[in-house]
Amino acid sequence: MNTDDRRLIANTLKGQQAAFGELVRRYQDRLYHAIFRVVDHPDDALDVVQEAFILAYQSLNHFKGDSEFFTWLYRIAFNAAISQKRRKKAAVSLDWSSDERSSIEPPDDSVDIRPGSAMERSEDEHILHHAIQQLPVEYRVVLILKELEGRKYEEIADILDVPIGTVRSRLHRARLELRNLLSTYEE
Amino acid sequence: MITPDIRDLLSKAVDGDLTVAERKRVDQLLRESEPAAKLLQQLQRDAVRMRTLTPVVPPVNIASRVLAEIRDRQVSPTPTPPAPKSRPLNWSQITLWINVATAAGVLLTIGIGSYMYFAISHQAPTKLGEQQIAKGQTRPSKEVVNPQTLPSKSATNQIVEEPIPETLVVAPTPPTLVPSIEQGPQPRIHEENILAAPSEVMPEINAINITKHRISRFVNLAEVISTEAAHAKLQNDIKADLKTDELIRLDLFCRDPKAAMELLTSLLKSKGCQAITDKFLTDRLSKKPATEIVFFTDVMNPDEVFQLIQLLAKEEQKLGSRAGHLDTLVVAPFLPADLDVLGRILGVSSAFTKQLPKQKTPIDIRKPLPEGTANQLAQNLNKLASQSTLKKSKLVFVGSYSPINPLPSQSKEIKQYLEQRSDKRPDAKPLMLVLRTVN
Repeated sequence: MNTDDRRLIANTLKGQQAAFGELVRRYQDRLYHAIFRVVDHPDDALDVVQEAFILAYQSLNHFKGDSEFFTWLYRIAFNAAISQKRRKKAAVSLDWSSDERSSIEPPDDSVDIRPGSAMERSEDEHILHHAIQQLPVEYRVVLILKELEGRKYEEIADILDVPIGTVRSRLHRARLELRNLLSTYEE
Repeated sequence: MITPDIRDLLSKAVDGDLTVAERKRVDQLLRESEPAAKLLQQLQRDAVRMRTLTPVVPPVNIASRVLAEIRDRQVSPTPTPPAPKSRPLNWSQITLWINVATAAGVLLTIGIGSYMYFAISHQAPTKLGEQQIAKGQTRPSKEVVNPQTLPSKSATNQIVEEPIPETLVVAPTPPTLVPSIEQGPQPRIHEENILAAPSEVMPEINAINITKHRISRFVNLAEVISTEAAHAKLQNDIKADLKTDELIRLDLFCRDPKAAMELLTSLLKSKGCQAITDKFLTDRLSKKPATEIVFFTDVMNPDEVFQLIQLLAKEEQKLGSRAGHLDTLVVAPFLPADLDVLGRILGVSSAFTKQLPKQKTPIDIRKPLPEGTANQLAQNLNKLASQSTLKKSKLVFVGSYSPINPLPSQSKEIKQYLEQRSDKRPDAKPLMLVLRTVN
């Protein structure tokens, strides 16, 4: 584990909350960016990330230091994001005409409804983001961790607590499904 | 054509996660197949696009919010549980337990030995008894003669010249010695008459009343087109079953679902129905894995469905033993669970569960679905394609029943079916026909 992280964790456990604040500042942007791609809503992403940090703070004594702090934090955050996504999917009406049909028709890019974006995004990115959102959450998470975060298979397996074979299989499926979705827009 | 295996291989190639053999295969593919080369290029480009997505920055400073929450909720790191104290060994206790274990072992050995002794002695009582009887029993020997029969020597000294009649006297056998056999425990006195007729001891099981309980009907296809009087009733019963439920459920067992599918598709075409086959199913069938196939349509009334069954039976008869595709037809009640499955197959679960008529009375198992389900279902499906301006036709959707397409919303064929299916006729009923394999 990174020496700085180790020092900050040790200081946090001694009661220095500011040390934990420093840890959060180090990783908040990166975590938010990844979680946002999973849950697709800025408020939800904010809630998940915030809650993940609080849970991490609570469980800091149980962090053994055998992996990177960020990997451990990711595990907490992604599990929370997946659970939230599943909860929301069960609660939302499954009206095909309003929800699924949008996966086939071109997206409306006249208004950027995402206030969290730092820069104006091109239509291309918008389409890619939309396509990613159509993937099943298990596929989406693996794709984000691999392509966005640049994680290795072993790290992804560690974060998601699944076998490496499962990671490979989900990643391949995710890529092919994403290609299918993007080809719909490209036609 | 790019098969799913090739697609998987190309996806692995994006990561460079290939064995030597796989690398060679990919190189060969890229040389020989332009679509494969194009797909790889697209996958690589998609990966690059993902990596270069503009980072999304959080709208607020998360760190200050997290620290504020920690203070407000008074959260603190959970203390680690203390490590269990290692206690020194208590030798007196250990000795005690060793003694207890030894005593238990001795008792167990005695018990097993006793059991085996008594078991053996009970096993061969006849043999043992016979031996003892044989030992104790004195066989009447011809040589033994009852001394009473012989003339006893009289006190007189007269010599009797008459010969002593020899008579064969069978001496009574002496009482046999009954060996002392170990007496077992007295048999338990059983008050009940165990030889009583079953009806006196068994609970009464009521026979199934077919009029009250709706069960699946297993039909031999040949009987559907038979002209024998005995089969006429069966045919009428089948027609009645098809009219009973709001939706019709048929399972057709066959040896080759793909061939059966082709046959059924051509028969439906002859009745003016066009089949739309999901690509997910087509891909699976091209790889020949085990697949069960579902046909769904709501353009036929029960009589037309029965005619379709008869056509199937006639075709099967024509092909005879050469094809033998079709086995048994099952006419089953259409259950709410079937509606759920159908909704998942078409990716329109809401249409199959939303706003369906509710049961006013407790569920009648003869009619599991409430009246009006079929019409409401048709309306829900129509709403999904209400904005479509495409020409409506009599369509049948053909898809994979097992496994179900995991992404029905991405299926162009499902979309086409939902948008182009014609309006339901008043007398038509939704039909779900599943082609299943015979093992």
